[in-house]
Amino acid sequence: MSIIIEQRPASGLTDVADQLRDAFLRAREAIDASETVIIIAQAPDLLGQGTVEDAAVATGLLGLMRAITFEGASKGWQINMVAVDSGTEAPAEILAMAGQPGPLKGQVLNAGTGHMGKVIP
Amino acid sequence: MTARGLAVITGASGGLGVPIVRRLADAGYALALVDMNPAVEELAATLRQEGISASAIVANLSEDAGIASVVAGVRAAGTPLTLLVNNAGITRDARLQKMEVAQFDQVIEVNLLAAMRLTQGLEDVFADGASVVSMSSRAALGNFGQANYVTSKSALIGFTRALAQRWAPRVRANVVSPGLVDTPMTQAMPEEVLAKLVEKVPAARIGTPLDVANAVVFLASDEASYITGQVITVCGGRSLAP
Repeated sequence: MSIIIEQRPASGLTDVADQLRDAFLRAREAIDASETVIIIAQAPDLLGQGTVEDAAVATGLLGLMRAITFEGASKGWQINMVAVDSGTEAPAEILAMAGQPGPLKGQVLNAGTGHMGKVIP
Repeated sequence: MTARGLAVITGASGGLGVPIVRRLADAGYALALVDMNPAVEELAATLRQEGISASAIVANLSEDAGIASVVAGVRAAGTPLTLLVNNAGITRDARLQKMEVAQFDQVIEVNLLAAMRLTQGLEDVFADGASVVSMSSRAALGNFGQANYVTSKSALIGFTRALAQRWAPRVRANVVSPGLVDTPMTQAMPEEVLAKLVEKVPAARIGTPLDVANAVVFLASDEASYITGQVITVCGGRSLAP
């Protein structure tokens, strides 16, 4: 089973902190329960194309994913990110791939094409 | 008034702050040194004795009053604000399962939210052509026992990418991500631990604070006037090596 953590539009700095803390706690809880974690982020926010708050949340979640992967690589912890373009949903097959126990760890799976030709963080 | 304008540096009295301050002084900036630590006043006084234009602002950037005091100090300086260096940062390391919520929150607050708050608070004060340089870390790519720190430093990159697009072409925004650098923190490491870390650096040495400060000065300079929203990783190649 996978736990899904989804980026929301940030209403301000307090909400940036709230979303990052909530993701930290939920991801840790999932890992403690030996569940895989999928973070769904907005691809435009990873690129900084929206508000500064939304960009901070998206890339903060990216950092959290990398930190957990780094620390848990030898322990089997699995967390991945699915990045979606504006107004789109994460496709079921990509979510399944991201949550499937296996070697895919700490990766960003881009479900759209908006990232192409851009510097991906 | 100095040729390069006024530079505001947060965390100015810290391990990386002082070398950045001195390098910016060499480059011709007037300096507004911001820190929670009152020791920043002594640093400013020392610089003034050396003929450098420097003022100190003791402020807590987590509070509106702290932001207001920096904004007021910058306006009072009478020198155009051409550079903000978001350098203040802390660590509260712990393994993921041992990390307390307070440790997570503190690091997000100081490393990320305070920088966002101050940068946005200064929006109307920046001179045309000014620059924001924020200090992230190579650890933003992932590190052990630093879920809070990695999250904050990665988020700072996103903030910068968005800021660069929103404030262009008036103000540029970039990031410097230092790797292993010779600071009081690394000097406190056991010698054998530090040696093993240095072994992993393709450049075969620990970075100096000047290596980092040089990147800051470059990004702030006219030579970098076509660079915005980017990250320079100052790590001797460590971010690529096994």
